Amino acid sequence: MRNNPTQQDYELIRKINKGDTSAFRQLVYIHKDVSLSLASSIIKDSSIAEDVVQDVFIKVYHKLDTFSFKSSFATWLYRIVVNTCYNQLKKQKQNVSLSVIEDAAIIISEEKSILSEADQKKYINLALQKLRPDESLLLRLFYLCELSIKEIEEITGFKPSKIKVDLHRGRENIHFQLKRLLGNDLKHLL
Amino acid sequence: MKEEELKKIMSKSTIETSDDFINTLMNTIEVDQKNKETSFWWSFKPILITCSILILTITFILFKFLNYSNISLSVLTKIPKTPVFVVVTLVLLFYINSIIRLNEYRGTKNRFDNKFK
Repeated sequence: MRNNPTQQDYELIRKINKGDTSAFRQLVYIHKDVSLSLASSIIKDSSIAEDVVQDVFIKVYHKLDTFSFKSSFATWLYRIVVNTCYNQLKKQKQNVSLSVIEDAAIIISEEKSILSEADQKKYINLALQKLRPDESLLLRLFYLCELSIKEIEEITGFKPSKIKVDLHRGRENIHFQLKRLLGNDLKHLL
Repeated sequence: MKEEELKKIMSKSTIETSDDFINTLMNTIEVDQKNKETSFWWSFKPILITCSILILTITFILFKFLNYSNISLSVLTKIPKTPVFVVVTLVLLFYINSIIRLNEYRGTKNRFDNKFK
């Protein structure tokens, strides 16, 4: 899934700037899931993450006239998502109870003999939820959004060395978490 | 874990938004826009301009017309102009400030109500 600056994004933005709100609906439709995935990497509570993404899109709608067509819309959007999420994280003490996550793992593990597409998603997201915010965010930006280190640097403001180190740790940790959750069934994911 | 395998796994890590995500978002934007349109006349700039015009008018009246030794205005000429000007300006600013704050509170309350309706 490569979310590069597409001509479609640019056309939609031009329409929105002319007052076409249905174009904004389309733009949201294209980017909402990846934005929520990135937000969930930082804010582990998905309902709070969804609220934050809503706020981000409202912010984007009002600031879209300041968007310069020189850069990718996705990069611009993800930067806002990441900044807003880190600000939100600073504001509120994360009260995600680890026991809730553990319980969820147990419930799924009882059903793990059949690994449907939905189950696979649940396991992967559960494993990502257990990683540090920076690690899961970087894994998603690098592998899900297929962004380069330079683009990730632009979005997160992290130094390339930190990005590389956290990606390395993230790779190891997600493997460890998936192995812990799935055991030998990990091969069904691969 | 190989890079390709990790890529395959991560491609399944997309989290989908709830069904009413876009509708809720578009409704919020619509309400925001309506509030913005109605609140324009109560926004800071128009009030600042009106306030400046009123203050200049009051200053002009106080310092120009009250100097006439007109019989009907003879009492008024005895009133010290500077303190009156200061008091009137402060009262005016106080009321304008109240109007802006009340309007902002109303806007925030509307947004809050719409979000949790």
